[in-house]
Amino acid sequence: MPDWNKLVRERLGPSRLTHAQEAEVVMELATHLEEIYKEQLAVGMSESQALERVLNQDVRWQLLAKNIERVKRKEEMMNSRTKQLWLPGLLSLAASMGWMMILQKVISPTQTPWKHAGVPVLPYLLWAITLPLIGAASGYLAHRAGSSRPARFAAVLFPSMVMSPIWLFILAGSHHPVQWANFCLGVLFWVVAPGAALLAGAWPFLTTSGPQTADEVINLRTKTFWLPALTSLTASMVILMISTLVGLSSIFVARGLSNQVVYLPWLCLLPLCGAAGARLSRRAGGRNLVRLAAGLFPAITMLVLGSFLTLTGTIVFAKPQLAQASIGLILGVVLPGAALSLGTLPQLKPIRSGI
Amino acid sequence: MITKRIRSKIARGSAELAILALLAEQPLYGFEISKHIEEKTGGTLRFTLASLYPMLYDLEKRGCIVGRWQANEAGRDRRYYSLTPAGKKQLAPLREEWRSFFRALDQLAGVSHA
Repeated sequence: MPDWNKLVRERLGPSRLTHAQEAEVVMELATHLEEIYKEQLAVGMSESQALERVLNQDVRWQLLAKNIERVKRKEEMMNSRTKQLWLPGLLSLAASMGWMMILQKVISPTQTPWKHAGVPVLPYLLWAITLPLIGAASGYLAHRAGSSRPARFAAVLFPSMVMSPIWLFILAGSHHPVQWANFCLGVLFWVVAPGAALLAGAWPFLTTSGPQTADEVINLRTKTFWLPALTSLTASMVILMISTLVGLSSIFVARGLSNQVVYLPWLCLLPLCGAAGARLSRRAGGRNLVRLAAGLFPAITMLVLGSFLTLTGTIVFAKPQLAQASIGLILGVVLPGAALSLGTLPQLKPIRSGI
Repeated sequence: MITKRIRSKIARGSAELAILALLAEQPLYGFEISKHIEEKTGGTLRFTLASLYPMLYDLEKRGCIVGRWQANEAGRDRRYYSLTPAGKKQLAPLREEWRSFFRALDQLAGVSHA
């Protein structure tokens, strides 16, 4: 009597089923073939004829293997796709949209102290600066779930991917002549820039290949730079949010003190943010340059974002606003950078080793 | 003209009904299921190894049937399938659906037997 299990296993070929699942399927199919074989013997066939009859069954084994695999792994595949793509993608979308809605609700356009080419900058600025955190969270979740690199990119860029067709829809549905400058500005502000910010935050989780342990996910660069830098950025944004909420309260708005109340406490507390970022980097073994970059990360982010806003404002509205840009540079980059340095520089000293 | 896709759906639906109806009578293992269906339909419906098991696993995954390894009379292990309460619940509307389908087809094309 042939070894039916071996015969079935050879014909099915390699499988992605678990060992237990595969063994069960092989055994079940083998018993089925054995029954056919016995049936042929019972009607008077010789063993070789019966075997030939069994082997000549019209079965496309590879297709059968594929179908069984598809059915058996259906739930598992759906679960992993949910974990690897949909959950991080929807988290990224919900968090970024929700955060923007909160900012727009909290910071009324009429109260916004800073405007750039007629666009209320503050809600957008706060939103764009914090987007890397959302990107990082989404990238981390996708990476932890073991998703492939394209799936990680898709999960992180999900908000931008959702916004793209919306802008195309706006363009297609417009009854008025298309104002290309405004359209491009919209795409830039709501698709390209958020996408870049999300990618920047998620970068450590996009560049590493192969999951899965926490130690592998949080690699050296993440520990020495990204986590401290994002900590510094988050802390500075939280302080700015609080000071903005206080500064935009009616008491200070009525007295024309909003700008000072928003800005000065933030500036005074920035050294703590810089110190926190640089200290974390130092503890993780970051070199001086890495510690400096981590501590000054909020100022670096502001510089990148401010340059972007100035450039787009200049290109789209064709009005170079050098005075405003210079004030923005001083208030948004130079002074915060100096404040962050106060906390960061002491952390550049070498770590004393005990004897 | 019936497309291949529709034909495949009809075949799949009828096969599901056949398996569920058979298992409503008694638990059976794969080979027995295919033999019973072939015998009861005079060979009109016939399952091959390739069509039977993916369908059994699918029905099991959907919770309509459950498979358990048991020794048969000869002492050999076989995987016996039986209908679950969910499968029983699904069988009645499935039967009704097919009854309506054949009634409609009969009115349209006169396909019922005399």
